[in-house]
Amino acid sequence: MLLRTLVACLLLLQSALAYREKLDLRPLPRNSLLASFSFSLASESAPTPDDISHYGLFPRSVGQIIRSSHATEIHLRFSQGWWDASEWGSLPEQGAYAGGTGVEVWAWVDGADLAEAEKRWYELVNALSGLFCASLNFVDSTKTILRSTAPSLDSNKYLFHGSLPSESVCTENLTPFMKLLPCKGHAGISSLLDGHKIFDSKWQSMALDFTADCDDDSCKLVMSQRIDVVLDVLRSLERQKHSPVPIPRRVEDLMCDETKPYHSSEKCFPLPTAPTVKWLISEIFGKPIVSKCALETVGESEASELGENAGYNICTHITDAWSLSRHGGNVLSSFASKACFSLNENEEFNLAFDCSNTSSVSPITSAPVHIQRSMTGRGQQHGGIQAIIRNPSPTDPITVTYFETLPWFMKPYLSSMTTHLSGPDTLDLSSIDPIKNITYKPFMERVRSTHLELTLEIPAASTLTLSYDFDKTLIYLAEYPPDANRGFDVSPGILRVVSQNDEITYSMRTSSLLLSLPTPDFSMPYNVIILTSTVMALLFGTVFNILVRRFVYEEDIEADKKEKGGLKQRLLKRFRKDKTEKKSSVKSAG
Amino acid sequence: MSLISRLQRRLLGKLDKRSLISVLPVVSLLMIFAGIGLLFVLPMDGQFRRTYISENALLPGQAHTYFKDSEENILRAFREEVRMLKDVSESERAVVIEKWINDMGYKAAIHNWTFSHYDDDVKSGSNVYGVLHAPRGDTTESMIICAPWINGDGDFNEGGVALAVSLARYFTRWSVWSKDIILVIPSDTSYGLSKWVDDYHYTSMSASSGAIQGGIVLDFPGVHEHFSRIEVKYTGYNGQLPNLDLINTAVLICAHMSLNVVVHGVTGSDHDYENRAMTLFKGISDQAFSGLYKQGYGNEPFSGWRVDAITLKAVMDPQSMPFTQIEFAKLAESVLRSINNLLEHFHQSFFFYLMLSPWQFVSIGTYLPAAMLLGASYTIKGIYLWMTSTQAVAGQSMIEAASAFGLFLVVIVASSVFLAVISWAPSTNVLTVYAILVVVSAFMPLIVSKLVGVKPKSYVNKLRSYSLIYAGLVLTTLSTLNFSLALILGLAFSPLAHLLFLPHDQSRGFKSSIESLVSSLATIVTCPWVCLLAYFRIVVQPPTPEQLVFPRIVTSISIGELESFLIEMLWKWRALGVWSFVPIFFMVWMPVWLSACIAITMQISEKESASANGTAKEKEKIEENVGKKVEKKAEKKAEKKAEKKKQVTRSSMRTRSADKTVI
Repeated sequence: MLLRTLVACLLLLQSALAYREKLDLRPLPRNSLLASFSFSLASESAPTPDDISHYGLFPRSVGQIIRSSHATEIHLRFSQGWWDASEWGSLPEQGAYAGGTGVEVWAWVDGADLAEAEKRWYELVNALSGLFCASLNFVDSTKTILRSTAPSLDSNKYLFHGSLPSESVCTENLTPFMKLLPCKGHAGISSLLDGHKIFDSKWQSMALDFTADCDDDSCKLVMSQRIDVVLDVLRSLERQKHSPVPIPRRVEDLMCDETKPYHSSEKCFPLPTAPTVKWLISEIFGKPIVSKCALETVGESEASELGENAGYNICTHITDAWSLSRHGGNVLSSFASKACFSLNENEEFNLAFDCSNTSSVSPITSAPVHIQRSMTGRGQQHGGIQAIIRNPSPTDPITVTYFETLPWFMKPYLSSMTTHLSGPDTLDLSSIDPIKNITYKPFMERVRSTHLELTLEIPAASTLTLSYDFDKTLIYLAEYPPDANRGFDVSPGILRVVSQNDEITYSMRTSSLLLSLPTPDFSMPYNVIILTSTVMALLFGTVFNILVRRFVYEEDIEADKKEKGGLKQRLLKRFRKDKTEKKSSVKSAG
Repeated sequence: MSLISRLQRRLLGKLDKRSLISVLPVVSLLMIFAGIGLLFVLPMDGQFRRTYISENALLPGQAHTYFKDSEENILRAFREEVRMLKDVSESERAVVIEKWINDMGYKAAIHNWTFSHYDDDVKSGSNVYGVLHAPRGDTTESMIICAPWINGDGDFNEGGVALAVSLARYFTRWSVWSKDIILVIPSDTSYGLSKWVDDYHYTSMSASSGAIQGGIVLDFPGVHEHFSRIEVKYTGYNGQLPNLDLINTAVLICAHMSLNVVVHGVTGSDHDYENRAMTLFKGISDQAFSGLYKQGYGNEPFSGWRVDAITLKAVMDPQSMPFTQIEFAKLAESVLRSINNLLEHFHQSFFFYLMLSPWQFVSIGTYLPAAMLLGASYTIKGIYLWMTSTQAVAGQSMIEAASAFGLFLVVIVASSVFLAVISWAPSTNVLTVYAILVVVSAFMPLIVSKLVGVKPKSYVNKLRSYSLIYAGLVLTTLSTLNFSLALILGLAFSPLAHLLFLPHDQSRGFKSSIESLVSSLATIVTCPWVCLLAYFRIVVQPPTPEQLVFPRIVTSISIGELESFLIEMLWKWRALGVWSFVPIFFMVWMPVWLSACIAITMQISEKESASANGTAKEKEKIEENVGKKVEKKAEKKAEKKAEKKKQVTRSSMRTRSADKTVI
């Protein structure tokens, strides 16, 4: 009875705190599937962020970190893989939740001055490091960029940005991610999140955003978590049905082009890809959705906005070539372009997709900008970086900001920076200077990395090639990581498309680069130690010899010998002496 | 310490300085023989080491390969398709391949390339390539699987291309790749592939990936489905070699699969000294002449970019072909799996080595002395000539040294002009330009020595000394970069250092005529042009038995082939940056040979040289006396250590008196 009341109380309480979880499934060309999981919740309101003591569903661990570090916004990204913009179009949510390869973190931190804010930032990354099992504690001054500052009345706000491109994202990062969710993967759409499936993807990005949402009189902490993942449907199915290794198919199962003249039982020209495909959610993710997450509520604003569709959990974005059949749950809307379903408590949900033509997918919005960045040059002394930014729009020029951080051991020459525009012949590109603004903060050895931010304007249907040279530095032996010969990762560049009224309409990352520095043969220090030790020993021996040994002429020794006699004689002498002494003493005693 | 100095005194005290100098030519000659002798010692038991896998991450042969059974049906179909493309133009082929690999999920693109010397002298073609982005990778690293349309021997690489494409298709089913896979099908093994590698590293390509960690080139020519053995080709341009771990990996996997594997085409057992020696010498010749005029096997263009690559060549010997194409494919798959396992770039094992068999090698520490001895022998001979070229008139020595150096500089400048001219020459009249250079270089020594006029012997010796020291410097440096080339060059010049006699007194008739005959023979044998022609006649266009008679051996040379040989060499230098032939030929060989020619044609003023020798002898004698005295004094000093202070004062007086004798 008591328990039931308690649960009722709890549910009542939570109704005020909206927790929503949604899953969008969007088949992409070539049997890929984009699954976007999003979770959002908020804490109770209080006059200031510091006053929030009742967290409700909001994870207390995060709340405490936010409070102790005086951060007003924290953004974390864990990404891996490569987004194929030519096939898949623009990033989900215009790239607002996508990160660069590895781990990326940025936060607005309050502080009276920069020193205080910096201290709080390092505390913050260390705390996050523990919470998310990531090496965020390695974000030190050389990996931190102060992006901007915003003065306010009593304290200043500083935006810090740090990234770890070589961090490999793995299940150990997914588990803490799931722990922050109210249903922790036991129910609701989060029950589909299985490390084996998520990390067997072509591309995946985990995003966590914590913000203190304050208006004039009240503040609440808002958390939004998101996982976007592009899965290879065929590979997942094969894994599920057969085995993870590509065991050769039976000859009967091969799909051959039988129109070929040489087609026989021994020769089979393979067809491009299976034109039809059939799969269940449970086949792709390993299991069906267990049940609705009972703690989920629909916020008032959403309810009014969406009307009938409010409270949906799963939406699919498909075309007429696809047909769906569901098991469990309720249908909220069933348009071909967007079908939405809600879940029920204590009822499994599964969805079957049947496709007659996999090349037919719901329209893909192409990305507003493309970028490709690479290293140029050879040798271990100099190098170059080349970024090629393409504006695919045939009519409109775009303005982008391109942000790059280079580690201090890459010494860029800004003087060598060149831009080259190429585009349709109708445009006179030679007179256009694409660089509108440069923010450059040079590196300081072992203290700070280079911060380069460019505002560029790219004419319609043109390609901008931006390149500059750099020098490679010799670093101290202790500064080489254990896998020094792999090379050093250079953080992905961040490209943002800025609209007329300075709003960011799209953002994306380049891939990270591998910089190979001159690397010593690590057995060399050992050789040097051995050699110096030998020289030292020789030197010591000689000096010690000279200091300690007494030099005498041979004649002196001869004379001395004659005087004192040889060793034998001397011993005998002494012995006799002793004897005589003893005798005498015996005598005297006697 | 005192022990060493005493020993030194004992030894040197007995030898006089003059006799020390006079043994230098013998030492120099002995060093050449020692260098050559060392090469014969290397394949002896106990002098080489067995190969081993240094990088543990490679795990060669540990991965299960699944390219079998029904995959062979697909492979056969691709072979049929590739066969149909044999007579199709390159750009059409590229389009077909591009479609195939695009359908497999690769980011495919066609890479059109051109190399042009002048507007009308163009090499061009179309490569096709595709990038499979590693399912879980982040495009920072990649590896290459390459199959050129035409292999190094000029055969249509039907099996190689089909294997590469069907392997590429099969690779999409694995999700183990940590590095992107780049499939490259270049038009040929040298220019097309080189240009692709260059452009990959310098310009933007429509499909791109990260740093290339390693690669394999598949060479399976012809329509056979079976092969006899695997040959691993590894020598890169300019003598650069891939990491030994990569070769070891391939060899070890072959052993796991019971495939026969050879290097440098030597099939015999590695227990025999002869086979090991044969592999060694073939390896040296392959390294020295790599990229000289031949197409190469496909692994060469990667060598300058810190990309370790090998060519797996299926050798078809009609007598027995026990292995199937599937085994070849499995080998390729397994090698790529090993490269994929790498956490770091290849760095653990050796980069400088000579193979004696697929399982045996000699490392740089053991073989380098051979080339170093050869190089140093020139330096020593140069020092000897310098020390014996003392000028008679006091104060003239410096002027003479400077003037001889000026002459040597003229020779160097002339040679670089030759290089500039030949690099500039249009391919259509390369033969004419070569002929002009031959004539110029033949008459240049005569004209120069006439212009310089009569000079004392010391002057000529100084000139020879400069050229030999120059050769010594270049060869010792070169031996660390390209051991084999340094070795072969060292052997090629050696008559110039030891068989060159300057004209003597006319009185010693017979001996002097023999000597001048030997000298002129030496200059003819070492003449770069003669050697070039000889190489062409022996290696490129081997004479038939009936052509072995004297006039026919020269007259039967096909001019067309010679021209294309010369043009090809120039192309390799201009387009591919192979510096081991053209620049070395003109900047090292030519000046050394030219200065030797100038030396023997120069007129020597007998009287002065004789008097110069005389005074030099006297001077040396005095120096020796002083030396002896000082040494004696030192010895005595040591003996009298036991004596008291009186002796010390006496010996200091002695020193003063010794100083007087010098004055």
